[in-house]
Amino acid sequence: MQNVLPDRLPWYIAGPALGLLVVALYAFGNKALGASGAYRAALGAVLRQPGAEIWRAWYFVGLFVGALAVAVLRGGPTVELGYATLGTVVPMLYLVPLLFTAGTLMGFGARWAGGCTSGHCLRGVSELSPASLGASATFFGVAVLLANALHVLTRGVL
Amino acid sequence: VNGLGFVCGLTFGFVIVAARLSDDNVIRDMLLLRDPQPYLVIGSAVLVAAPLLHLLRACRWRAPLGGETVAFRGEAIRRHHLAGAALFGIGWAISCTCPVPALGMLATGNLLGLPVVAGLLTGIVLRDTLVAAKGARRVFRPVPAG
Repeated sequence: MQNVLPDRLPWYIAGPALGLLVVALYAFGNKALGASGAYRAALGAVLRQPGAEIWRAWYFVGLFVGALAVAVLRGGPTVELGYATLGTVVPMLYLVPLLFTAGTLMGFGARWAGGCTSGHCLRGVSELSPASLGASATFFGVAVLLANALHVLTRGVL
Repeated sequence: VNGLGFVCGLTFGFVIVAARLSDDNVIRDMLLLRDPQPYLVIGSAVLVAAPLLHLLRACRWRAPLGGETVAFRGEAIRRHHLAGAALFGIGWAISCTCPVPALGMLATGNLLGLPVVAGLLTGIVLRDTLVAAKGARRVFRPVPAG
């Protein structure tokens, strides 16, 4: 089963494929693509909350299965605790709460901003929505600055 | 539309992981501006989607499963978009992953995707709870006369 997939799907296939997905969701279902909303819907579906968007919960399940399919095609999935760079610097005892905190910031931030990288950068920017253009610029601006600041402050370790 | 959601999710998850965007080192190299590939992925996605979406809207396309005509309208930029995005950016730079890639991490067996996914859910619920609390307070506030 190995080598069915290239080690890394090149951008000129991955990018247009993601773009077509945004279009397909509108063309067939008149729905706006987004991942943070899918997290919310999945939780709502599990907790049987009224008003949860069930199709988004299915989208969430699809994300997981799609990722799993790649792992299987690559001969996996292999259970591991792998955090390439951060994992070499931060001991596991601190790494888990740190990642949890980072996740919480992203979840809170995405909900506050009305979307995350897929909802704003992919779908919203394609709609040329001013809010999404601003949010995307901020996502990248803040993350690039902070990543580079960490890189310099840790003398290139992070 | 549930089936459509599943199929779109499946393809999305597949492409993200196949393009190695669920690899924290790839995102790190992207944020350190060493690897142009993730930017090219997003850029080409937008270049493909933008004209097609606007074409759908211009010809008042009726989605077979969605009923109505495709009519997205750009949202005006407000402060909460930027504040939330800044918070998101901080988490992104630390974790080097975001909602779909984190799920991809978990699905491919990397158990460290789990705290990120748990954090994402916690953050989302926290924000929604805060909004609901604010809304409740607003209801009890006396309405000014006139």
